[in-house]
Amino acid sequence: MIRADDNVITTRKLTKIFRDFWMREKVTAVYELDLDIMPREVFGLLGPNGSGKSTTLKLMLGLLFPTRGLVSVLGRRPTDVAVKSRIGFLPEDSYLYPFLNARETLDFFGRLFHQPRRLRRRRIDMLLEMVGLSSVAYRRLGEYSKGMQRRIGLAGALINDPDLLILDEPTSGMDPIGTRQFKDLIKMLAERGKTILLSSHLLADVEDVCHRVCILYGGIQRAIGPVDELLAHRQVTQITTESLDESLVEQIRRLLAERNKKLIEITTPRGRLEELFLKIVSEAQASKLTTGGAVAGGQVAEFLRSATPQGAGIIEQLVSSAASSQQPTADKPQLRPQRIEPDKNMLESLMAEKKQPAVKTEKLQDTPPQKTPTADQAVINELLDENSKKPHGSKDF
Amino acid sequence: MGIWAITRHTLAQCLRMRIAVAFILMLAGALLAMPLLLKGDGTLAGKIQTLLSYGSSFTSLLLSLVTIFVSVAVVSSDVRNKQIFITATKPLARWQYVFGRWLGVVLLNVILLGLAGLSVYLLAVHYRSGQALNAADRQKVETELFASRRAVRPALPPVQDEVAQSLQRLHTEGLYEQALGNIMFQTNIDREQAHQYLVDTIRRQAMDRFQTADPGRTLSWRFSRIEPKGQGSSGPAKVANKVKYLYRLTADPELIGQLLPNGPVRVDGTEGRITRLEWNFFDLEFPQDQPLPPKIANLTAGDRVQIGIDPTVQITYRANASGDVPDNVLHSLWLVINPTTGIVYREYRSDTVRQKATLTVPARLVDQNGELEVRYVNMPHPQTGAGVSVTIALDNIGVTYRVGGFDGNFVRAWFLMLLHVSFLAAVGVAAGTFLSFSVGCLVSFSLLPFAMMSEWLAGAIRTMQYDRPQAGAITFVSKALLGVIGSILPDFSKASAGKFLVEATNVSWTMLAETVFFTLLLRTGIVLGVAFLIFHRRELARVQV
Repeated sequence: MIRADDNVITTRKLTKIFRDFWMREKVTAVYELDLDIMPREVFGLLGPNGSGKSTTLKLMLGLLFPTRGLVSVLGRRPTDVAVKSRIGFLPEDSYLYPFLNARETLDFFGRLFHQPRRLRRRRIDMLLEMVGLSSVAYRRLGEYSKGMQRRIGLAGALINDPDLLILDEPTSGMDPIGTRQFKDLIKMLAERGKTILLSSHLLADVEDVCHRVCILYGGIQRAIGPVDELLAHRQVTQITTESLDESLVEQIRRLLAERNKKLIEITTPRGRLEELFLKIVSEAQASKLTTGGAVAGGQVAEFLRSATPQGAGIIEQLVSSAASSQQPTADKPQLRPQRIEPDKNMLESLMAEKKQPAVKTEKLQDTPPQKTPTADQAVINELLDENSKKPHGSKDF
Repeated sequence: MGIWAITRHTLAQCLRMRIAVAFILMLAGALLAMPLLLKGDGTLAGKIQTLLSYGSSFTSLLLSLVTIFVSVAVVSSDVRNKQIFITATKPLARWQYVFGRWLGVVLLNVILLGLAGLSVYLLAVHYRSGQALNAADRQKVETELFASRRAVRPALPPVQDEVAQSLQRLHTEGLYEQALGNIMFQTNIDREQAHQYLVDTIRRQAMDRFQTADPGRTLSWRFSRIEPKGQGSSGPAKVANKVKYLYRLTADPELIGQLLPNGPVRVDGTEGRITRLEWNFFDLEFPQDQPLPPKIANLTAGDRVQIGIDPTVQITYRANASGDVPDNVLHSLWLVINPTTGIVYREYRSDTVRQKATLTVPARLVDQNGELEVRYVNMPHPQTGAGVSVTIALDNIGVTYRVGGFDGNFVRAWFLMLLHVSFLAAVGVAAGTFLSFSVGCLVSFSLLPFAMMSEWLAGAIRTMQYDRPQAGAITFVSKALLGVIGSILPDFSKASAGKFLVEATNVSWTMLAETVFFTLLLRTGIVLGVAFLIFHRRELARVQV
């Protein structure tokens, strides 16, 4: 019997060693990993390529078997068939059948979840609308772009209204609009009480949506904790105001000097490339320019938004009741207060939020942040370096 | 529902793979080209036999290839392309996935076999409506092709007794040890093998005596359990002409094809004897020693009557000559005897050497116990008076009789083919669960010849055992290997659809049930069970670190 405060995923000393034909140890992909992923949590697995993220997910999905240690998903073994009816999975690449079209693909998935025809059809319509592929629903997936395939993969992962959503490199290949919608969707699903586990090496993704993260390197857990705690720079304070004239800036400089506080940076904030891109596309759509690919996507599917879950599993009921009590416990992650307004133009709402100035971070190296007790700063730096090499607005986040 | 989802998906996948389309095109091409390329012996029966033989063989071969390719591909490509990640993370047990994949391939086979079967059947029926070369040709079409017949082999001669007596005689005369010594010396085998060799040699000699007739001598066989009752046919006919007791009637060629030259036929219940038989009409004569019933006597040209034809039995044989035969024709007298009543049917025949021949006789020669006695007299050449020894092996003679129609038998024969390809589908799916596409195909294809030619291979090993007893080790290994493979694989050659249809041999329900049990439930079940086990224990995700 699973209780509401039970972990959704638990691993204990989870180890996976790949061996060669002669059973000699070849690679230790995951080593003694201890994880506790709680209900309603958005949990991120971070790490550079080859750090063991995908292997960990595959162990949790029963696609690989542990060499040592334990893994439990929703209180059962990952290979348990009953558990799989409550899981949605999006692999790192959309492994779809190119000879099927989008509707046939989702219909096939729906059948595997034993959904009756009427429910299947309704959900397929809503999901295709949600991921913006209604107009190309009868095109074979072999003709889809990678981003469109990711969208249909996502729709497939949601067709059973899962309690646990496992996403491996979810936004790989998606355009910025899809990426943004995807992040909003994750937040909304989390609000609704879903548990989400995502792996990525794209830090912006994780930072935007995850409550807690675990950083892996070489198959070993290097850091784990809430995102805010891991990223907090307690030695500095940032104030954002309306535009200041030069004299007022000078006064602030003097004041800080009088108080013996070192001024690190004063900049004019600039918008993010993501925002600029979304604005341009929004204008193009408003002028009704045609496109042969995916469109921006519509509302989040009703069955994913609805207050009453349609797949009424035990956990779902317990989670729902816990959510309605509005009393998050100390152990549970703080759910973000943002609320999705599906009836509004999504792009407009996206444009309106998060207008935070971009701060140049290189100057902060003069005053390094205090290390968190469990963080391995070298790994974080490596990740930051890797991420900083990617231009903003690239096909990744 | 999960299994059915996979089954449907597999079927859709197969139909959209070009290989299924290629099968349909190749089959259609072969069936269309067949009449142009294969002329047969010029008879209608030969044309239909060629169609049935090549049509079913081509379908079987092509479908076997398609089945192996497709069944290996549907599983191995899922693993290679990682689509299995999606399916395996759905609420579907792995055995359900494997079973669904197999069922999908079987469903594809049902469709392809249905298309192929329908094409061959419709062509055969179309040919049947064509004009036969002569009455004998028509008779062959109707009684030896468009029928379902049961075959009875002759009772085995008392060879064992002869072998025992010969051995006893060798012991009594003190020649047994000498014979063994000679064999061991000549063939370099041990004592036990030498004894077996001696027994086999004596048995062969005894069999030769029962199967070979010198000029002027007789061979005889006894057949039992013949049950042709109730399998006669009837139909409408029209009086074309009438002269006293002699009537000429026309009827549908398919009905006339059931008649025997000089055979009995009933016209509105009154029996007469056929005096002339053509493909579209026949003459019959009523007995003159008694007055004809008024209904028959008053018949005039243009009147319609109902004719009834007694069931017949066919004696099929193939005679071989020991020496040169000048015109390649063997002359013989056949005596077919009812063992209880002593009624004898006589027919002089001239048959080509080593060619299959059929003697059709009225079924009333079979006694109430289902027994029939057949004698063959080796006749000298009518002009030269020369003669040769003639051998009719026990395997080369049999009695066949109609037990059902062509349509049902065709469906059952085609169903046999489905059972075989279903087994191949299981082998392919099992190979795909742990091998790549290319290796899986290689393994599956390497098993195919054993299944298709196991009877021939077993015969070859037997021959090697007799002819080259010194190759004992090779024979032993070959036998063991064939034994193991034979116990796993069904024997396709024994239950070939083409063989049944060409010979119009009945595919009995018993045989069908046995094949369902041994091939489908047992062998296919075991192979799928192994596939379930392998797939259940397999890590489906590739190494990615």
